[in-house]
Amino acid sequence: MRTREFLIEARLDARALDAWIEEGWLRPHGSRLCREFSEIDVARARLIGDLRGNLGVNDEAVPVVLDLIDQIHGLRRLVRELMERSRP
Amino acid sequence: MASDPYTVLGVKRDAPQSEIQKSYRRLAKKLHPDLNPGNKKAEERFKDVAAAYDLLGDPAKRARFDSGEIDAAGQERPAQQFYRDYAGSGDHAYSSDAGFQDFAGAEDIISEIFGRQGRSTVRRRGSDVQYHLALDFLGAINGGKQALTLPDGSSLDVAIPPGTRSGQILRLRGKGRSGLNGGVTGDALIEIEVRPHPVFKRQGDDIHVEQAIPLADAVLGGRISVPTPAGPVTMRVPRWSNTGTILRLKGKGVPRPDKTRGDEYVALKVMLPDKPDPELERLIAQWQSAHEKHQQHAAVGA
Repeated sequence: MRTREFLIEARLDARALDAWIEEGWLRPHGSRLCREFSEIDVARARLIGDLRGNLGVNDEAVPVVLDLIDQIHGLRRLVRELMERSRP
Repeated sequence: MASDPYTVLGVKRDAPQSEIQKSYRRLAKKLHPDLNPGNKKAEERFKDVAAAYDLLGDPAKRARFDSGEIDAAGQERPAQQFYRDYAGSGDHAYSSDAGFQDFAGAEDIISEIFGRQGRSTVRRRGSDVQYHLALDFLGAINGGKQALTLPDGSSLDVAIPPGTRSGQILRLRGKGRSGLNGGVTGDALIEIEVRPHPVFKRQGDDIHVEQAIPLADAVLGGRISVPTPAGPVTMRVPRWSNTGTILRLKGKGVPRPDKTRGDEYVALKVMLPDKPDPELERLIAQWQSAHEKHQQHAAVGA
């Protein structure tokens, strides 16, 4: 999806989007002039919104939390793959 | 959501608005599905909590609920897709293998699993770069910092852990090639070569040395100074120690990661004085003739 649709889906304004991409919190495909967002970008933007909102995470800590969550997903994926392989 | 929203949030019916918000935030921190990626129950409870807060978090809606105008039913939220619903696949720009890059011997499996993400638009981690670093024997045993000069002329400070051995590979995170499309930078993999030492030999975590001792100490016993990787120590030589006797200096070997150390084994080598010593020669001659007589007596007696 393009930027406009993404902003509606993610309930985000354009300025915040630029800042979040600048920080590396969001990494859409495509170039600055023609960005392409996917479902995971929407879900991640909502997660960032939740973190900064009701979960009380400040901007300094957002990348820390995101990185740890991504590491957990990587580990979960590895465990899942290893479990599948060890099945007779 | 059928149950009472006040019960779900764990607040009294007359709780102030601030307390409702506080309680919701406390529960959300615990139950948010993205903070519980493997927990289905947390998601269900989070949905109930969020629905309850939708109702009670808004003072106008709360007043209508309290007066019986609306009820808790119909407050179900549309099924929300959480980040975890996408992040699990791994085939995306945010996937991370940083949590297990140090699993020894697992590189093949990891690259096989994570190498499958084939889309060229995906951010790729930069590749690792291999270097070779030769260390002095004692530098490798005792550890420390070592500068590594890179092909581009820049320099990299490498922390050498104590007890590093030849063939060991040190990983410097983020010192490899930069990633594709903004992906994470790769690592520098430094293969260590330890140069031999003229005195010390390493076997596993133990150090072996050969130590010359004066004839007098060999016969009568004594205290001598012995080199160890951490500096010289004084060692007691028992009387009548022959060439080839091996003494152990406990804990004077190679440092291990658990802070213990291997041992040092000292092989003794009995040395005569540098120059012929007439007094010693006379003494030995006396001793020898006495010794021979003693043997003849023993032979006659037999």
